[in-house]
Amino acid sequence: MPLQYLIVFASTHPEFRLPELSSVGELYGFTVTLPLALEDRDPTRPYMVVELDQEEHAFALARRCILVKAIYEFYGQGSSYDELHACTRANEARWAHYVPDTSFRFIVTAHNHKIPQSRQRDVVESFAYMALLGKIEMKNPQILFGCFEEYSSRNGLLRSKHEGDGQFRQVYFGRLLVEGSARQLVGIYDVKKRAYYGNTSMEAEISLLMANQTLAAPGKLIYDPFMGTGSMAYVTSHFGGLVYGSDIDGRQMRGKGKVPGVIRAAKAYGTDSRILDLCTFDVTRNPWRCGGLFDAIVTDPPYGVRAGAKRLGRKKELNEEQLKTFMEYRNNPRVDDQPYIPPTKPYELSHLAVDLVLLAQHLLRPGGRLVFFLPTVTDEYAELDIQSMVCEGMEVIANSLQDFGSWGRRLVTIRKTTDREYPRPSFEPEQPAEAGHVPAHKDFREKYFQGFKKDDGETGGQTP
Amino acid sequence: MVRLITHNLLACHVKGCNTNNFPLQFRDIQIELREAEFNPDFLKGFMPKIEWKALVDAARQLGDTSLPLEQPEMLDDEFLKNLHHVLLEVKEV
Ligand SMILES: C[S@@+](CC[C@H](N)C(=O)[O-])C[C@H]1O[C@@H](n2cnc3c(N)ncnc32)[C@H](O)[C@@H]1O
Repeated sequence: MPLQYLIVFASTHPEFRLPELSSVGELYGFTVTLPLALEDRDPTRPYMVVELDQEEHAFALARRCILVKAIYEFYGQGSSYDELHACTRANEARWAHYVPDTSFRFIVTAHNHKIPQSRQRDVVESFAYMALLGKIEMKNPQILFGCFEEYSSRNGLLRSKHEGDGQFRQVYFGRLLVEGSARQLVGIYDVKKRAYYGNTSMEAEISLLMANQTLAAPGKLIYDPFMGTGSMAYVTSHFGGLVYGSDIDGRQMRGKGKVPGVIRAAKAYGTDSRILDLCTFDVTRNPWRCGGLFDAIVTDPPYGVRAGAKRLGRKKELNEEQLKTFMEYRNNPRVDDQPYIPPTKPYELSHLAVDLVLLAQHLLRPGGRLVFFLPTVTDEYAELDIQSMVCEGMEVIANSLQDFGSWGRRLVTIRKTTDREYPRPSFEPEQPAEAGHVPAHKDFREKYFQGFKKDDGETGGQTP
Repeated sequence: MVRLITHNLLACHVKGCNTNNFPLQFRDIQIELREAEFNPDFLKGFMPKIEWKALVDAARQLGDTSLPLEQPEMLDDEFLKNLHHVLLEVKEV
């Protein structure tokens, strides 16, 4: 029979919670069965009761999931204490062996609310029927029982301290099995404490969530084609991945100093031996010899706000005379010449996104994953925006919004579902706009700088 | 300045470079050794992707003759250790 566990989530990034659970499950080869009722699997709720085949799976989730604060062995739940106690009694077999002589402690706490001390005591007393004979131990109890009341958010509404006390949506009860230990990585990989970072670096928590979406593990080959300062490399190599990074602008990866910045930062984390190489090239002219190489491609593509997307080429082709001069310089570089910096032209985001999926279709191994961010205009976003970039053999398995108000970015996870091999994408120059679907992320940069104005002249909310 | 695994994976796709686009030629022959974790499963999974002749040639140019001219059928520990060293620990500078 499957076992039931109560997951207490960290308060951040609700839309990333379930994808992370199932990714970590897939990584270790087990399934996390979510509750049947839609409202019980609503990822914005702070507690969730899931089923696992083995206790060991709960430990694996707690070790690896960034958004798991703690996991409890589940005993009961209800919309009232009567329901909760009935459920807990029915599950007596789960806790009966703690009755005779296990020292224990209770915590009674709430989400979106503070329970007055006096009622906390009442709640503890209401469990008297369990008839626990062990000692109550505040400091180092052998086991900890947790009782969690879930209140709906009353964001922005002023209310006195204990107002609405007892009017919870649901209450849960269980025994602490394990605290989430992966959350501490958020501090360890804090960008500001890093030996090398820049204004494109990705915050640690999101980077770690991305790493979990890649199923990073020892011996997996992982590639970031828009490497920048390497935020994806540190976290994926932390979990054992072997990492390739490339960028059109090598200075982003090198920074100043003799040892490249990305290597210096990785060394400080003890993972520099897993950064295989850093290569400077335009991804649309990438030199990978063949496809089917990588277990995952993980990247934060340039979307034009801080680090614009560029690709080699010129906005306008050279005229004959310019071409002659260019070839002359190119064929006879002067000895003291500066390194050749090739011209670049803008690379429109929706075009880049389509190319990225095609590139992943070619470069990924069967079952490999593409994990990337796609910025989007909140009001204009449609499910089809993502679906329309997908190509044969590629399946969207997660799509989580990080919401900034008028705009947001979606972490998209796509799996290569076939073992077919696909040719190198052509990265053909943009075709004239087709009559087909126009995604909301098209021309994101322009929309961003216009403040996401809509036709009625209304301006969007926050800037990033 | 890349590891030999990288050297084995990169080719030149520039138009008009089709004749001799792989492997890329070394400019100077100098090497640097870096340590990497030994992972036999990774090596076994990666073997089908290797252009074997190019790898052996590159290693020999850099003075390492530990790899056989043909990919062996039996992947014993000694072979995997040598392959590990050549692929991941030898860097041409
Ligand atoms: C948003 S940043 C990536 C930031 C990175 N995650 C970090 O931690 O710093 C995008 C990067 O893509 C690079 N880039 C832009 N166009 C490119 C292209 N056509 N090919 C390869 N890299 C490109 C930029 O130089 C920039 O470093």
